[in-house]
Amino acid sequence: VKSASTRALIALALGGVLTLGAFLGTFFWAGVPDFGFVRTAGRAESVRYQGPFKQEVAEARYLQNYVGYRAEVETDGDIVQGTITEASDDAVTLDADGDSVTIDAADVTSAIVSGSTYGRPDWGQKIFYFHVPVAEISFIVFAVAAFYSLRFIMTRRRQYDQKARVAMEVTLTFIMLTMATGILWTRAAWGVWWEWEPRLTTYFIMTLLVIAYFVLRNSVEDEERRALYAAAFSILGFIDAPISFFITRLIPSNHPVIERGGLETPMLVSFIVAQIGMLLVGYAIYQLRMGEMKLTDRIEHAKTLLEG
Amino acid sequence: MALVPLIMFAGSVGIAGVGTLLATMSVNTSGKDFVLPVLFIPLMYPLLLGAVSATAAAITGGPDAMGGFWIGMAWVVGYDVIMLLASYGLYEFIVGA
Repeated sequence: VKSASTRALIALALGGVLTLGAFLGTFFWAGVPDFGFVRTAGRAESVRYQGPFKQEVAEARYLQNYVGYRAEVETDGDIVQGTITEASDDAVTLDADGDSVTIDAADVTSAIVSGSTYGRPDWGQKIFYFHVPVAEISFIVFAVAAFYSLRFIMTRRRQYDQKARVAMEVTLTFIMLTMATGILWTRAAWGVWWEWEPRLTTYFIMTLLVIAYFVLRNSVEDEERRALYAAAFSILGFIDAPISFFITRLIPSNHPVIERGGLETPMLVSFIVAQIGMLLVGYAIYQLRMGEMKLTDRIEHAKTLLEG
Repeated sequence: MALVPLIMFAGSVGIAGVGTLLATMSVNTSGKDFVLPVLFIPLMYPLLLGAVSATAAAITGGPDAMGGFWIGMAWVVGYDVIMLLASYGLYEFIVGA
């Protein structure tokens, strides 16, 4: 394909299809892990029905937690079977085949409750196929930006500065996507939007570094000086950035880490497809923005020619 | 407690090394007094992390804390070496601009 922008559009379409396909496909292909078990009094109306459960209750007052469940309550030599209709610290009322029986909590020698239990599907885990590739690409594009910054310092050619800047913009885009998906996941899995935890904190620091890069760019007037300062800062920033990647292996952290061989085949294949797709999307955004920059340059050039 | 000056020294070296480069850069920007902290604080974070945990271990003292102390010191010294080398390499270009 001749034109860079056509190539970028093809990469964007292909990457979008792969990423979305992997993300949606995992709902059907890769298994949904259980987040925890839920107990109910009746038969669980769930596709992930686990089966019945039967449990002895340690103290009679705990029967308050099982109103509506079937129970077998034993008093001195007498066993009452029925559904718990009411329970307090002092007494428990059972509905035994239409007869209402009230038993003092002090008289209860043992009690067994029964119902059913089902696994609560952890749908939140599915964001893994989106969040992790996005986060990885943010590191890769940051590396590309640092590479072009180094090239700029060595050669002082303006095109490398432009490339580094565009790569940094793509990094910021991917960092923001990582943050958004990560925040959604922590809310679903940990019950909080944000936690000052090693991985999250260092990633937040990386976000600040990338934002600081643009603050620096916008506060220097002279074009050559701006390019040089920005290049130096992005190299320093990139030395800092990998800490976020490795910190979960150094300091105990709540953030999950993929272990070697920890993914089943459907999960692994979907994950790899999502990674390839996201790499294509990153490349496409970079190329499209680069094309836009080149067009702007040509327009500026034409303007100066017309004025002169 | 006797080890606190060691951390203070190692930490100061890192702060001075990177700080000098960033200060040279921020002098030539339009918002001098706010650009420096914006650049400096996130870049300083790994050093701060190591120095704080090492200081905490040194003040707590005892044989149990020594492992944490040396891990913190490894962070600080590693950061010092890498960042000083990078800053030293870049300084010439920044001053020349």
